[in-house]
Amino acid sequence: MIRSVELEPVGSEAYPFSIPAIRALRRLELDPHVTLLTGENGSGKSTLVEAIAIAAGFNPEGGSADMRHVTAASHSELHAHVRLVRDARPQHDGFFLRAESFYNVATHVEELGVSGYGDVPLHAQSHGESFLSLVLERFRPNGFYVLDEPEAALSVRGVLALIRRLHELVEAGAQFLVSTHSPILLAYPGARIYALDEHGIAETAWEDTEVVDLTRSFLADRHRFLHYLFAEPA
Amino acid sequence: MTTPRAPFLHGFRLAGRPAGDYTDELPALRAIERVELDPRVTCFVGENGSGKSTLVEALAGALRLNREGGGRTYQHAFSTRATHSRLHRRIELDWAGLPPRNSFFLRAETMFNVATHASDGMRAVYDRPLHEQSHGESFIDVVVNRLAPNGLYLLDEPEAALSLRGQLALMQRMHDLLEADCQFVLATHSPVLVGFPGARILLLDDDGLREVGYDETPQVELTRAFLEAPERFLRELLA
Repeated sequence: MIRSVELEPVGSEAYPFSIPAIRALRRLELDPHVTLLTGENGSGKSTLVEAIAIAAGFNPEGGSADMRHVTAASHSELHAHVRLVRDARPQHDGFFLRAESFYNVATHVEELGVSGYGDVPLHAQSHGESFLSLVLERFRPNGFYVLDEPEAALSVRGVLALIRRLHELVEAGAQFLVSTHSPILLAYPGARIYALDEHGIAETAWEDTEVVDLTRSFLADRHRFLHYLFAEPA
Repeated sequence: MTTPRAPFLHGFRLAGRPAGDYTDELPALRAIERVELDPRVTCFVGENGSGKSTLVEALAGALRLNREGGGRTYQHAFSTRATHSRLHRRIELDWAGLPPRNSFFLRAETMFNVATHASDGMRAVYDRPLHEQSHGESFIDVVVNRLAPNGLYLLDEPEAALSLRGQLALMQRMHDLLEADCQFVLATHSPVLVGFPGARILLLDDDGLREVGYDETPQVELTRAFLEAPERFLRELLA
Protein backbone atom coordinates (compact mmCIF):
# COMPACT_ATOMS: atom_id res chain seq x y z
CA MET A 1 0.00 0.00 0.00
CA ILE A 2 1.04 3.59 -0.41
CA ARG A 3 2.72 5.55 2.37
CA SER A 4 3.51 8.68 0.42
CA VAL A 5 3.79 10.20 -3.00
CA GLU A 6 6.92 12.05 -4.08
CA LEU A 7 7.11 14.47 -6.94
CA GLU A 8 10.53 15.15 -8.38
CA PRO A 9 11.33 18.81 -8.99
CA VAL A 10 10.61 19.80 -12.56
CA GLY A 11 12.05 22.89 -14.17
CA SER A 12 9.08 23.20 -16.48
CA GLU A 13 6.54 25.96 -15.98
CA ALA A 14 4.25 24.37 -18.53
CA TYR A 15 0.96 22.72 -17.64
CA PRO A 16 0.44 20.85 -15.34
CA PHE A 17 3.41 22.33 -13.44
CA SER A 18 1.84 25.74 -13.87
CA ILE A 19 -0.85 24.70 -11.38
CA PRO A 20 0.25 26.09 -8.00
CA ALA A 21 -0.66 22.97 -6.02
CA ILE A 22 1.29 20.75 -8.41
CA ARG A 23 4.26 23.11 -8.65
CA ALA A 24 4.52 23.36 -4.87
CA LEU A 25 4.23 19.65 -4.20
CA ARG A 26 7.27 17.59 -3.27
CA ARG A 27 5.83 14.99 -0.95
CA LEU A 28 2.28 13.96 -0.12
CA GLU A 29 1.80 11.73 2.92
CA LEU A 30 -1.18 9.43 2.46
CA ASP A 31 -3.37 8.25 5.28
CA PRO A 32 -3.17 4.45 5.62
CA HIS A 33 -6.94 4.36 5.07
CA VAL A 34 -8.54 7.40 3.44
CA THR A 35 -6.95 10.52 1.93
CA LEU A 36 -9.20 13.21 0.50
CA LEU A 37 -8.29 16.02 -1.90
CA THR A 38 -10.52 19.05 -2.22
CA GLY A 39 -10.30 22.25 -4.26
CA GLU A 40 -11.82 24.25 -7.06
CA ASN A 41 -12.22 23.05 -10.62
CA GLY A 42 -8.77 23.59 -12.10
CA SER A 43 -6.96 23.43 -8.75
CA GLY A 44 -5.15 20.28 -9.85
CA LYS A 45 -6.82 17.65 -7.65
CA SER A 46 -8.04 15.52 -10.54
CA THR A 47 -4.71 15.92 -12.35
CA LEU A 48 -2.92 14.77 -9.23
CA VAL A 49 -5.08 11.72 -8.49
CA GLU A 50 -4.82 10.67 -12.11
CA ALA A 51 -1.03 10.89 -12.09
CA ILE A 52 -0.91 8.86 -8.86
CA ALA A 53 -3.30 6.28 -10.33
CA ILE A 54 -1.14 5.92 -13.42
CA ALA A 55 2.03 5.73 -11.32
CA ALA A 56 0.34 2.98 -9.29
CA GLY A 57 0.00 1.06 -12.51
CA PHE A 58 -3.73 1.45 -13.01
CA ASN A 59 -5.11 1.74 -16.44
CA PRO A 60 -6.79 5.13 -16.74
CA GLU A 61 -9.08 3.36 -19.15
CA GLY A 62 -10.89 1.99 -16.12
CA GLY A 63 -13.25 4.77 -17.12
CA SER A 64 -14.68 5.23 -20.55
CA ALA A 65 -12.63 4.91 -23.71
CA ASP A 66 -13.33 8.56 -24.37
CA MET A 67 -11.43 9.50 -21.24
CA ARG A 68 -8.16 8.31 -22.68
CA HIS A 69 -8.40 10.44 -25.76
CA VAL A 70 -9.46 13.49 -23.78
CA THR A 71 -7.05 13.49 -20.88
CA ALA A 72 -4.21 11.04 -21.38
CA ALA A 73 -1.89 13.52 -23.01
CA SER A 74 -2.13 16.02 -20.18
CA HIS A 75 -1.35 13.51 -17.46
CA SER A 76 1.21 11.16 -18.85
CA GLU A 77 3.79 13.85 -18.27
CA LEU A 78 3.03 14.32 -14.57
CA HIS A 79 2.92 10.64 -13.68
CA ALA A 80 6.42 10.24 -15.08
CA HIS A 81 7.62 12.52 -12.26
CA VAL A 82 5.65 10.76 -9.52
CA ARG A 83 7.21 8.15 -7.26
CA LEU A 84 5.13 6.07 -4.87
CA VAL A 85 6.64 5.10 -1.52
CA ARG A 86 5.07 1.86 -0.37
CA ASP A 87 4.67 0.51 3.15
CA ALA A 88 4.87 -3.10 4.31
CA ARG A 89 1.23 -3.92 3.57
CA PRO A 90 0.98 -5.88 0.34
CA GLN A 91 -1.40 -4.46 -2.24
CA HIS A 92 -3.69 -7.12 -3.67
CA ASP A 93 -5.87 -5.09 -5.93
CA GLY A 94 -6.66 -1.60 -7.09
CA PHE A 95 -8.01 0.64 -9.73
CA PHE A 96 -8.97 4.11 -10.70
CA LEU A 97 -12.48 5.44 -11.25
CA ARG A 98 -13.31 8.86 -12.59
CA ALA A 99 -16.60 10.71 -12.23
CA GLU A 100 -17.51 9.74 -15.78
CA SER A 101 -17.29 6.07 -15.00
CA PHE A 102 -19.42 6.50 -11.90
CA TYR A 103 -21.84 8.49 -13.96
CA ASN A 104 -22.07 5.87 -16.68
CA VAL A 105 -22.91 3.15 -14.21
CA ALA A 106 -25.40 5.30 -12.33
CA THR A 107 -27.12 6.17 -15.57
CA HIS A 108 -27.21 2.56 -16.60
CA VAL A 109 -28.77 1.48 -13.31
CA GLU A 110 -31.32 4.25 -13.60
CA GLU A 111 -32.12 3.27 -17.15
CA LEU A 112 -32.77 -0.32 -16.23
CA GLY A 113 -34.97 0.79 -13.39
CA VAL A 114 -32.95 -1.67 -11.34
CA SER A 115 -33.32 -1.32 -7.60
CA GLY A 116 -30.81 -3.89 -6.47
CA TYR A 117 -27.76 -5.75 -7.62
CA GLY A 118 -25.82 -8.88 -6.94
CA ASP A 119 -26.90 -11.18 -4.16
CA VAL A 120 -28.88 -8.55 -2.33
CA PRO A 121 -32.63 -8.80 -2.89
CA LEU A 122 -33.88 -6.18 -5.30
CA HIS A 123 -36.04 -4.41 -2.75
CA ALA A 124 -33.34 -4.25 -0.08
CA GLN A 125 -31.17 -1.57 -1.64
CA SER A 126 -31.80 2.01 -2.61
CA HIS A 127 -30.87 3.07 -6.11
CA GLY A 128 -27.84 4.89 -4.74
CA GLU A 129 -26.72 1.75 -2.99
CA SER A 130 -27.38 -0.52 -5.96
CA PHE A 131 -25.34 1.81 -8.11
CA LEU A 132 -22.53 1.73 -5.59
CA SER A 133 -22.67 -2.04 -5.34
CA LEU A 134 -22.31 -2.15 -9.07
CA VAL A 135 -19.30 0.14 -8.99
CA LEU A 136 -17.69 -1.11 -5.82
CA GLU A 137 -18.38 -4.84 -6.01
CA ARG A 138 -15.04 -5.17 -7.76
CA PHE A 139 -13.25 -3.70 -4.77
CA ARG A 140 -11.37 -6.13 -2.57
CA PRO A 141 -9.85 -5.99 0.88
CA ASN A 142 -6.23 -4.82 0.81
CA GLY A 143 -6.75 -2.91 -2.41
CA PHE A 144 -5.62 0.62 -3.23
CA TYR A 145 -8.36 2.62 -4.93
CA VAL A 146 -8.29 6.03 -6.52
CA LEU A 147 -11.67 7.75 -6.97
CA ASP A 148 -12.07 11.06 -8.78
CA GLU A 149 -15.23 12.91 -7.65
CA PRO A 150 -17.29 9.80 -6.95
CA GLU A 151 -20.17 11.94 -5.66
CA ALA A 152 -20.84 13.40 -9.11
CA ALA A 153 -23.78 11.15 -9.97
CA LEU A 154 -25.07 10.63 -6.45
CA SER A 155 -27.88 11.97 -4.34
CA VAL A 156 -26.96 12.84 -0.75
CA ARG A 157 -28.33 9.42 0.23
CA GLY A 158 -26.02 7.90 -2.36
CA VAL A 159 -23.03 9.70 -0.85
CA LEU A 160 -23.97 8.29 2.56
CA ALA A 161 -24.14 4.81 1.03
CA LEU A 162 -20.71 5.39 -0.49
CA ILE A 163 -19.29 6.30 2.93
CA ARG A 164 -20.77 3.12 4.37
CA ARG A 165 -19.19 1.01 1.62
CA LEU A 166 -15.82 2.75 2.00
CA HIS A 167 -15.96 2.05 5.71
CA GLU A 168 -16.54 -1.68 5.13
CA LEU A 169 -13.60 -1.85 2.76
CA VAL A 170 -11.33 0.19 5.02
CA GLU A 171 -12.13 -2.20 7.87
CA ALA A 172 -10.97 -4.95 5.52
CA GLY A 173 -7.66 -3.23 4.84
CA ALA A 174 -8.38 -1.18 1.73
CA GLN A 175 -6.80 2.22 1.11
CA PHE A 176 -8.51 5.08 -0.74
CA LEU A 177 -7.36 8.27 -2.39
CA VAL A 178 -10.39 10.37 -3.30
CA SER A 179 -10.87 13.77 -4.89
CA THR A 180 -14.20 15.32 -3.94
CA HIS A 181 -16.40 18.41 -3.81
CA SER A 182 -18.76 16.82 -1.29
CA PRO A 183 -18.78 18.32 2.24
CA ILE A 184 -20.27 15.02 3.44
CA LEU A 185 -17.71 12.70 1.89
CA LEU A 186 -14.98 15.03 3.21
CA ALA A 187 -16.16 14.22 6.73
CA TYR A 188 -15.07 10.59 6.47
CA PRO A 189 -13.95 9.75 10.03
CA GLY A 190 -10.23 10.07 10.52
CA ALA A 191 -9.47 10.88 6.90
CA ARG A 192 -6.50 13.06 6.00
CA ILE A 193 -7.73 16.07 4.01
CA TYR A 194 -5.63 18.16 1.63
CA ALA A 195 -6.91 21.42 0.19
CA LEU A 196 -5.55 22.58 -3.16
CA ASP A 197 -5.74 26.24 -4.07
CA GLU A 198 -3.80 29.07 -5.69
CA HIS A 199 -1.30 28.98 -2.80
CA GLY A 200 -0.49 25.32 -3.19
CA ILE A 201 -1.54 22.24 -1.27
CA ALA A 202 -1.98 21.97 2.50
CA GLU A 203 -3.43 19.59 5.03
CA THR A 204 -6.59 20.98 6.52
CA ALA A 205 -9.35 20.19 8.99
CA TRP A 206 -12.84 19.35 7.74
CA GLU A 207 -14.49 22.42 9.26
CA ASP A 208 -11.85 24.66 7.67
CA THR A 209 -12.53 23.52 4.10
CA GLU A 210 -14.14 26.11 1.90
CA VAL A 211 -16.88 23.78 0.69
CA VAL A 212 -18.04 23.07 4.26
CA ASP A 213 -17.93 26.75 5.14
CA LEU A 214 -19.85 27.85 2.04
CA THR A 215 -22.43 25.07 2.30
CA ARG A 216 -23.06 25.91 5.96
CA SER A 217 -23.49 29.61 5.22
CA PHE A 218 -25.81 28.83 2.34
CA LEU A 219 -28.00 26.46 4.34
CA ALA A 220 -28.12 28.83 7.31
CA ASP A 221 -29.54 31.74 5.30
CA ARG A 222 -29.60 31.21 1.57
CA HIS A 223 -31.52 34.41 0.85
CA ARG A 224 -28.89 36.52 2.53
CA PHE A 225 -26.12 34.52 0.87
CA LEU A 226 -27.68 34.92 -2.58
CA HIS A 227 -28.48 38.57 -1.98
CA TYR A 228 -24.74 39.23 -1.75
CA LEU A 229 -23.90 36.84 -4.55
CA PHE A 230 -26.35 38.46 -6.97
CA ALA A 231 -25.08 41.91 -6.06
CA GLU A 232 -21.57 40.95 -7.21
CA PRO A 233 -20.62 41.59 -10.80
CA ALA A 234 -20.64 38.32 -12.72
CA MET B 1 -40.73 40.38 -35.97
CA THR B 2 -42.12 39.95 -32.49
CA THR B 3 -39.60 39.10 -29.81
CA PRO B 4 -40.46 35.92 -27.92
CA ARG B 5 -41.07 36.57 -24.23
CA ALA B 6 -40.54 34.36 -21.21
CA PRO B 7 -42.14 32.32 -19.82
CA PHE B 8 -42.17 30.07 -22.83
CA LEU B 9 -43.72 26.98 -21.33
CA HIS B 10 -46.61 26.85 -18.87
CA GLY B 11 -46.00 23.16 -18.46
CA PHE B 12 -46.68 19.83 -20.07
CA ARG B 13 -48.93 16.79 -19.88
CA LEU B 14 -48.03 13.13 -20.04
CA ALA B 15 -50.70 11.71 -22.28
CA GLY B 16 -51.29 9.04 -24.85
CA ARG B 17 -50.36 5.40 -24.85
CA PRO B 18 -47.76 3.88 -22.55
CA ALA B 19 -44.23 4.42 -23.81
CA GLY B 20 -43.58 0.68 -23.83
CA ASP B 21 -40.34 0.96 -21.88
CA TYR B 22 -39.09 1.30 -18.30
CA THR B 23 -40.72 4.71 -17.93
CA ASP B 24 -44.11 2.97 -17.71
CA GLU B 25 -42.91 1.32 -14.49
CA LEU B 26 -41.32 4.24 -12.61
CA PRO B 27 -43.81 5.13 -9.85
CA ALA B 28 -43.29 8.89 -10.04
CA LEU B 29 -43.69 8.96 -13.81
CA ARG B 30 -46.76 6.72 -13.71
CA ALA B 31 -48.44 9.17 -11.40
CA ILE B 32 -47.82 12.26 -13.51
CA GLU B 33 -50.62 13.71 -15.56
CA ARG B 34 -49.67 17.34 -15.74
CA VAL B 35 -46.62 19.31 -14.65
CA GLU B 36 -46.93 23.05 -14.08
CA LEU B 37 -43.60 24.73 -14.67
CA ASP B 38 -42.57 27.87 -12.87
CA PRO B 39 -42.35 30.88 -15.19
CA ARG B 40 -38.73 31.27 -14.08
CA VAL B 41 -37.07 28.26 -12.45
CA THR B 42 -38.34 24.72 -11.85
CA CYS B 43 -36.21 22.12 -10.03
CA PHE B 44 -36.95 18.40 -10.13
CA VAL B 45 -35.49 16.56 -7.15
CA GLY B 46 -35.49 12.92 -6.03
CA GLU B 47 -33.29 9.91 -5.47
CA ASN B 48 -31.07 8.29 -8.07
CA GLY B 49 -33.47 6.32 -10.23
CA SER B 50 -36.61 8.29 -9.34
CA GLY B 51 -37.02 9.41 -12.94
CA LYS B 52 -36.15 13.10 -12.69
CA SER B 53 -33.39 12.99 -15.31
CA THR B 54 -35.54 10.81 -17.54
CA LEU B 55 -38.30 13.41 -17.30
CA VAL B 56 -36.01 16.33 -18.17
CA GLU B 57 -34.52 14.35 -21.06
CA ALA B 58 -38.01 13.56 -22.35
CA LEU B 59 -38.91 17.23 -22.15
CA ALA B 60 -35.78 17.95 -24.22
CA GLY B 61 -36.96 15.34 -26.72
CA ALA B 62 -40.41 16.91 -26.92
CA LEU B 63 -38.72 20.28 -27.54
CA ARG B 64 -36.72 18.60 -30.34
CA LEU B 65 -33.44 19.35 -28.61
CA ASN B 66 -30.54 16.96 -28.98
CA ARG B 67 -31.10 14.55 -26.13
CA GLU B 68 -27.40 13.89 -25.87
CA GLY B 69 -27.17 17.49 -24.73
CA GLY B 70 -24.55 19.98 -25.74
CA GLY B 71 -24.37 22.06 -28.89
CA ARG B 72 -22.84 21.49 -32.27
CA THR B 73 -19.43 22.65 -31.11
CA TYR B 74 -19.15 19.68 -28.84
CA GLN B 75 -20.96 17.18 -30.96
CA HIS B 76 -18.34 14.52 -30.48
CA ALA B 77 -19.58 14.32 -26.90
CA PHE B 78 -19.82 10.70 -25.94
CA SER B 79 -23.09 9.03 -25.25
CA THR B 80 -23.60 7.09 -22.05
CA ARG B 81 -27.17 6.10 -22.60
CA ALA B 82 -27.37 3.46 -25.28
CA THR B 83 -31.04 4.17 -25.73
CA HIS B 84 -33.27 7.05 -24.85
CA SER B 85 -36.64 6.44 -23.34
CA ARG B 86 -39.73 6.91 -25.48
CA LEU B 87 -41.30 9.08 -22.83
CA HIS B 88 -40.95 12.20 -24.99
CA ARG B 89 -43.62 10.85 -27.34
CA ARG B 90 -46.13 11.10 -24.52
CA ILE B 91 -45.36 14.73 -23.72
CA GLU B 92 -47.83 17.41 -24.78
CA LEU B 93 -46.28 20.84 -24.39
CA ASP B 94 -48.34 23.73 -23.13
CA TRP B 95 -46.73 26.76 -24.77
CA ALA B 96 -47.26 30.20 -23.28
CA GLY B 97 -46.48 31.99 -26.55
CA LEU B 98 -43.71 32.03 -29.11
CA PRO B 99 -40.86 29.56 -28.67
CA PRO B 100 -37.57 31.05 -27.42
CA ARG B 101 -34.74 32.11 -29.72
CA ASN B 102 -32.34 29.84 -27.84
CA SER B 103 -32.82 26.54 -26.15
CA PHE B 104 -30.33 24.13 -24.82
CA PHE B 105 -30.21 20.86 -22.96
CA LEU B 106 -27.20 20.36 -20.71
CA ARG B 107 -26.70 16.88 -19.35
CA ALA B 108 -24.21 15.99 -16.65
CA GLU B 109 -22.36 13.71 -19.06
CA THR B 110 -22.07 16.49 -21.57
CA MET B 111 -20.98 18.86 -18.83
CA PHE B 112 -18.09 16.51 -18.11
CA ASN B 113 -17.15 16.58 -21.74
CA VAL B 114 -17.52 20.31 -22.16
CA ALA B 115 -15.51 20.80 -19.00
CA THR B 116 -12.81 18.36 -20.02
CA HIS B 117 -12.49 19.73 -23.53
CA ALA B 118 -12.60 23.25 -22.23
CA SER B 119 -9.86 22.68 -19.69
CA ASP B 120 -7.84 20.94 -22.37
CA GLY B 121 -8.31 23.81 -24.75
CA MET B 122 -7.68 26.23 -21.93
CA ARG B 123 -4.25 24.83 -21.24
CA ALA B 124 -2.79 28.25 -21.98
CA VAL B 125 -4.85 29.68 -19.16
CA TYR B 126 -3.17 27.40 -16.66
CA ASP B 127 0.21 28.65 -17.75
CA ARG B 128 -0.52 31.60 -15.54
CA PRO B 129 -1.19 31.34 -11.82
CA LEU B 130 -4.85 30.77 -10.95
CA HIS B 131 -5.21 34.09 -9.15
CA GLU B 132 -4.28 35.94 -12.32
CA GLN B 133 -7.15 34.42 -14.20
CA SER B 134 -10.32 36.39 -14.61
CA HIS B 135 -13.61 34.70 -13.90
CA GLY B 136 -14.30 34.74 -17.62
CA GLU B 137 -11.34 32.49 -18.26
CA SER B 138 -12.17 29.58 -16.02
CA PHE B 139 -13.81 26.64 -17.67
CA ILE B 140 -16.83 27.01 -15.41
CA ASP B 141 -17.64 30.04 -17.48
CA VAL B 142 -17.16 28.16 -20.70
CA VAL B 143 -20.13 26.12 -19.55
CA VAL B 144 -22.04 28.96 -17.96
CA ASN B 145 -21.53 31.27 -20.95
CA ARG B 146 -23.32 28.88 -23.24
CA LEU B 147 -26.49 30.28 -21.74
CA ALA B 148 -27.67 33.38 -23.64
CA PRO B 149 -30.64 35.77 -23.35
CA ASN B 150 -34.04 34.71 -24.66
CA GLY B 151 -33.69 31.05 -23.93
CA LEU B 152 -35.33 28.00 -22.47
CA TYR B 153 -32.69 25.90 -20.72
CA LEU B 154 -32.90 22.36 -19.42
CA LEU B 155 -30.07 21.43 -17.06
CA ASP B 156 -29.72 17.84 -15.90
CA GLU B 157 -27.63 17.63 -12.70
CA PRO B 158 -25.31 20.48 -13.68
CA GLU B 159 -23.65 20.21 -10.25
CA ALA B 160 -22.04 16.92 -11.29
CA ALA B 161 -19.28 18.77 -13.12
CA LEU B 162 -19.17 21.89 -10.95
CA SER B 163 -17.54 22.80 -7.68
CA LEU B 164 -19.65 24.71 -5.19
CA ARG B 165 -18.22 27.97 -6.55
CA GLY B 166 -19.10 26.75 -10.03
CA GLN B 167 -22.68 26.20 -8.91
CA LEU B 168 -22.78 29.70 -7.45
CA ALA B 169 -21.47 31.10 -10.74
CA LEU B 170 -24.23 29.24 -12.55
CA MET B 171 -26.85 30.70 -10.18
CA GLN B 172 -25.45 34.18 -10.71
CA ARG B 173 -25.71 33.69 -14.48
CA MET B 174 -29.26 32.36 -14.14
CA HIS B 175 -30.18 35.36 -12.02
CA ASP B 176 -28.91 37.75 -14.72
CA LEU B 177 -30.56 35.84 -17.55
CA LEU B 178 -33.93 35.80 -15.83
CA GLU B 179 -33.96 39.55 -16.52
CA ALA B 180 -33.46 38.75 -20.21
CA ASP B 181 -36.38 36.46 -21.05
CA CYS B 182 -35.14 33.10 -19.89
CA GLN B 183 -36.76 30.09 -18.27
CA PHE B 184 -34.94 27.22 -16.57
CA VAL B 185 -35.80 23.61 -15.80
CA LEU B 186 -33.31 21.66 -13.66
CA ALA B 187 -32.91 18.21 -12.23
CA THR B 188 -30.57 18.40 -9.25
CA HIS B 189 -29.16 16.68 -6.16
CA SER B 190 -27.52 19.90 -4.98
CA PRO B 191 -28.77 21.58 -1.78
CA VAL B 192 -27.45 24.84 -3.25
CA LEU B 193 -28.91 24.93 -6.77
CA VAL B 194 -32.33 23.88 -5.48
CA GLY B 195 -32.20 27.00 -3.32
CA PHE B 196 -32.61 29.36 -6.25
CA PRO B 197 -34.96 32.07 -4.93
CA GLY B 198 -38.56 31.42 -5.85
CA ALA B 199 -37.91 28.18 -7.69
CA ARG B 200 -40.75 25.68 -7.89
CA ILE B 201 -39.42 22.42 -6.46
CA LEU B 202 -41.03 19.19 -7.62
CA LEU B 203 -40.12 15.99 -5.77
CA LEU B 204 -40.34 12.63 -7.53
CA ASP B 205 -40.62 9.55 -5.37
CA ASP B 206 -42.60 6.33 -5.09
CA ASP B 207 -45.72 8.29 -4.24
CA GLY B 208 -45.55 10.29 -7.43
CA LEU B 209 -44.72 13.93 -7.99
CA ARG B 210 -45.45 16.78 -5.60
CA GLU B 211 -44.38 20.32 -4.93
CA VAL B 212 -42.22 20.75 -1.82
CA GLY B 213 -40.54 23.61 -0.02
CA TYR B 214 -36.77 24.09 -0.03
CA ASP B 215 -36.42 22.88 3.56
CA GLU B 216 -38.30 19.67 2.80
CA THR B 217 -36.11 18.52 -0.07
CA PRO B 218 -34.13 15.36 0.70
CA GLN B 219 -30.81 17.04 -0.15
CA VAL B 220 -31.40 19.97 2.21
CA GLU B 221 -32.81 17.89 5.08
CA LEU B 222 -29.94 15.39 4.93
CA THR B 223 -27.14 17.88 4.35
CA ARG B 224 -28.39 20.08 7.20
CA ALA B 225 -28.70 17.16 9.58
CA PHE B 226 -25.23 16.05 8.60
CA LEU B 227 -23.51 19.42 8.93
CA GLU B 228 -25.16 20.11 12.28
CA ALA B 229 -23.69 17.00 13.89
CA PRO B 230 -21.35 15.13 11.55
CA GLU B 231 -19.83 12.92 14.25
CA ARG B 232 -23.19 11.73 15.52
CA PHE B 233 -24.53 11.28 12.01
CA LEU B 234 -21.52 9.20 10.97
CA ARG B 235 -21.62 7.13 14.16
CA GLU B 236 -25.18 6.11 13.40
CA LEU B 237 -24.48 5.60 9.69
CA LEU B 238 -21.50 3.35 10.32
CA ALA B 239 -22.89 1.49 13.32
